[in-house]
Amino acid sequence: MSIEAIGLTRKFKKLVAVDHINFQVYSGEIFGFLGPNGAGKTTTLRMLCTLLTPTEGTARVAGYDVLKESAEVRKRIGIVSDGVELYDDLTLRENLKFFGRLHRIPREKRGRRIKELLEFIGLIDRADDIVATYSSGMRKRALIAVALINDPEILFLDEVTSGLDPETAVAVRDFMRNLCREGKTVVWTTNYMEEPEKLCNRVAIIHQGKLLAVDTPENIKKLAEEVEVVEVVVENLRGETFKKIREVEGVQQASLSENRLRIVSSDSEEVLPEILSKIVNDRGVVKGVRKTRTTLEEAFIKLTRRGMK
Amino acid sequence: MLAFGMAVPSGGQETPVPVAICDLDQTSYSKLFADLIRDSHDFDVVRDVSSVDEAKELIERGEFPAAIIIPKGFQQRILSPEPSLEITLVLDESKAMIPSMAEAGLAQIAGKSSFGVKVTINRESVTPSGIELSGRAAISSIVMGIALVYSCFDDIAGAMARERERGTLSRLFLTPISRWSIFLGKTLSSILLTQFRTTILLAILVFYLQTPVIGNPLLIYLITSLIATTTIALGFAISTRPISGRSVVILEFALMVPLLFLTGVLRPLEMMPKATRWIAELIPYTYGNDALRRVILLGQGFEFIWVNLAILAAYSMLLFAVAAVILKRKIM
Ligand SMILES: Nc1ncnc2c1ncn2[C@@H]1O[C@H](COP(=O)(O)OP(=O)(O)OP(=O)(O)O)[C@@H](O)[C@H]1O
Ligand SMILES: [Mg+2]
Repeated sequence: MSIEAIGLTRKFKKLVAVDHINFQVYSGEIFGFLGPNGAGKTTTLRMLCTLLTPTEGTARVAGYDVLKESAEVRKRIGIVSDGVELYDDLTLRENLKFFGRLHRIPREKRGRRIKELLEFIGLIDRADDIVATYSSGMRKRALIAVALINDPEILFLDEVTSGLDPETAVAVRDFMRNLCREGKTVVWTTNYMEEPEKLCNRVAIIHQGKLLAVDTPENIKKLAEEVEVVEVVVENLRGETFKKIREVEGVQQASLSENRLRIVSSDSEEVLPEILSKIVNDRGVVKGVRKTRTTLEEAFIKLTRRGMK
Repeated sequence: MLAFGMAVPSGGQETPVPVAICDLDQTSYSKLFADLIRDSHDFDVVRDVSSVDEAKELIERGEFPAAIIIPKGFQQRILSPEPSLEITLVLDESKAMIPSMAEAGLAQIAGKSSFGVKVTINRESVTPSGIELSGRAAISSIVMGIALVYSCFDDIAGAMARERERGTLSRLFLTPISRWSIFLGKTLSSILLTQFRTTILLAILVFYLQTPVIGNPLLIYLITSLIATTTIALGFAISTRPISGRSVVILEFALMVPLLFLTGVLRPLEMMPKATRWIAELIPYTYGNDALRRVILLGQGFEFIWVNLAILAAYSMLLFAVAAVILKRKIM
């Protein structure tokens, strides 16, 4: 087991940002934290990284207690997160050297490691420019490189794919898979719901500081399966009509992408006639109707709604 | 603001200059003159001394900043066919404002009492260089003290705030290096920089301000290192709160007020109203500046300043302890 959180809690004055959460992450796993803004993902990660002391509870990371053996924990982790930055006025190579030295990596090994990392993130020809001159995507990649300097057992990635171009984002995901194959653990948070669905072994849904579910993406979707999802292929749908559809009684969620209208409801047979008549009345053209499966995103919204009640 | 209000003199009511009187003549005229001094609002006679040497020794120790010597033959000269009034003023010329105020006060009393006879005021200094220093002396202390306090404060509080804002502090904290090593590193580099700064400042004093630096240079480096240590400790104590770089700049401005007005640089402690003086005596830099003045300008040795150094050391330890206690309870 690589991470175990035991009653982990963090309060900021009266606000309970993380509320007695318990979970385990196994070695070689890609573990996703999924939650809306302000759910407590970053706060949890910061506690696991020993950057923030828990108000209550504790966690074991890579076999060590984050409170009592924080230096041992820090030797074995890497983190990419907002608020953990590089020295802007140094070059990337200098940053890597400096933090490599603070991690007490022997000189020879350090040199090799830096070369590998620069090749891996594709910044070898910019490595001697100061970091301040990097584009935001390059900076993200530089942050990943520095997080990996100590060859961590566990890598924490906080919204790491935001701001990356699709190609790099794919590369980062591939890289995460590779790390897992090497037996490393990756814990990451994201707001993009499709990502963990494709990538994660298990997902934790966190909402208002509480864990609502920890399971495989498949099982989490099943949890929400009592809902039905209908996809309507429609042309000429007006914004106003879409608004009306959302307000139809029984409709839990409605979303529109391209010409596909996705409706989540507890009973589609009940809501469908009304929706279809609204579309036709507003001169929309219905091209087809079919039942589909829930996505993780919909399961997530459903779970967090339930959590609020 | 409170400190500011108290530090800036409130209108014409000046504090009298503390002096000692040494009446070597012991005649009715000399006694009369001594009484005039005692009655004057310009002076506060703190004691009588019996010889010039005693007066000088006590001035050097800092018991009082000036002594008025009524020389032998004082009455005889007044009663002679060509009457004249002669008086000697022994001064600590390294103190700001006191020499000129004492001389002006004395001239006024002598002028009033002598009905137009020729008045001679001899000025004698306890500073070994002998020359008139006061203006420059004040500047030397300002330059040295303030420059050091500012640079060390910025080394710590400024650097910590910047590292926090730029997010490199958490990156440092994420390495296996302990927080104490990080702080120790910052402390040592700041103290090392202090040695260079002291050297440059001494060069400025000697070559630009033409201050006669007569004290033991090693002692000067010791004092500046202790001023640095106190400031570093203050910087850490302040950095335990997550303050922004902008707040640090505001704090640096705020620091200017007590540094200028409450550490005896522009206005010696003797010349402060009681309440203000009480505050001044609580500020560690008062003792640092005093030690610098004594060593640089009076050429005094360790025996004169060890108490100052001990106070600075005590403040450093106190502030480091405060920072440690706060840091122990929370990480960032
Ligand atoms: N240093 C802090 N002081 C006070 N409140 C904080 C602090 N850090 C986080 N919070 C609060 O804790 C809650 C959880 O914040 P957190 O950053 O963990 O959310 P998150 O899940 O990472 O959100 P996002 O998806 O927006 O990044 C929020 O309500 C936030 O305002
Ligand atoms: Mg976050």
